[in-house]
Amino acid sequence: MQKILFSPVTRLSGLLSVELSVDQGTITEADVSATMFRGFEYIMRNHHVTDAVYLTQRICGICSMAHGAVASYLLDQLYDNDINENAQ
Amino acid sequence: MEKVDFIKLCQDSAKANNHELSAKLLPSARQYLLEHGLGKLPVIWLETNDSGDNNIAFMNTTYPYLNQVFRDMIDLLYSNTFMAAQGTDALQLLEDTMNHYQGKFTLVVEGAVPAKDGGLYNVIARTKKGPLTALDAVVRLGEAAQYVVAIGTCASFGGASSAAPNVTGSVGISQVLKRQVINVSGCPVNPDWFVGTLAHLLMYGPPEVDELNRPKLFYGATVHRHCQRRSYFDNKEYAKQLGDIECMFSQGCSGPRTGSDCPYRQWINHVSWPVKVNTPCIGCTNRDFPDGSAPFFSPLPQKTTSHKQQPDMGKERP
Repeated sequence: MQKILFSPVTRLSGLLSVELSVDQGTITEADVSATMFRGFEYIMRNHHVTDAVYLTQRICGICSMAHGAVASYLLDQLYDNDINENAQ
Repeated sequence: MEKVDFIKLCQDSAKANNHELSAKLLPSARQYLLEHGLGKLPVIWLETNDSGDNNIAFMNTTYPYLNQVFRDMIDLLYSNTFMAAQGTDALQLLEDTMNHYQGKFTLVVEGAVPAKDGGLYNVIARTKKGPLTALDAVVRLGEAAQYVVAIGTCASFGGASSAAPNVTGSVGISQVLKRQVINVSGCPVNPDWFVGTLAHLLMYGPPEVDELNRPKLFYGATVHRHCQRRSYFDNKEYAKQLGDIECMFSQGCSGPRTGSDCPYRQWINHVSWPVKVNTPCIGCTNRDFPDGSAPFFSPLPQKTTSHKQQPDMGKERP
């Protein structure tokens, strides 16, 4: 049984480590850890619901657009907005 | 190029969408380096508690473009995002760079540093000897660096990573270092602010900074001062809802208390900025962002007043 620690994994945004257990040339276990925690679930609490549009964009700098858009769609549902496709 | 001309060029570049800045900056940077027998600026870039938005914004740089920055201005020796080496090779590079360029390299930190629980909320890399936390890395590299640049609001002041209740105890890097840190805040940073600061460091050393240690040439005036909708504000004509063309002070705009040149520099190749697309400024360059700007759609007097207490922020400590 051999253990291989592969850290840091580069060319990505954020931090990642991989630990492999290898037994006679076969990978028996792979532990992947994203070694960063900010607690966004806690941050979102106690905020006005409309803040979600801007605040959730700060979760990820690559897909911020997706977070912002989904938060906007959610608000439309919550407020029962009927917005035509163009306006969306 | 004289320093005065350089600053003027940086501030004017946004007005004209042309290649003037790179056409003048790159040859003059090269000439300056040749004349003074200097190499490119050696840079170690650490990513800590952030969303990776600042390196994406940096990749958006135009005039000079990203490849020109790498070719002519900086020597990026370690970066989690950009480097090809990984695993123990990457860590070896970090160690070698630190030893070889002791007191000569520039440390760029992207993200806040979690100080609680021994810094375990952010681990740069796992090693056989145990975790290398962001706290350890920033303190160790920060002491060995010639200049320290905080890119983005998280690294500068804590930003979104340190928003209430801040379970990770995240702070800006100036809180864990006993030395001057140049804060290039923004969520994300405008690539011009960051590349301009790097160019200033390369050619003339640290730029003149404001009371929050941000380069004055980019953060000197408020968004409100140069806003295209300023005349509406002066005539007390306010937007009744988002999408109206009047001043968005009524819709929660933080422009009057936010220092940045967004209205005329603009974003993504100097094309647009929030107010131009009908969303209010949320004050992302401020020390108290995002808590001080929330609720984002409430007018300034009604925003949360419980601003974060960071009394010694922005001051160089003994």
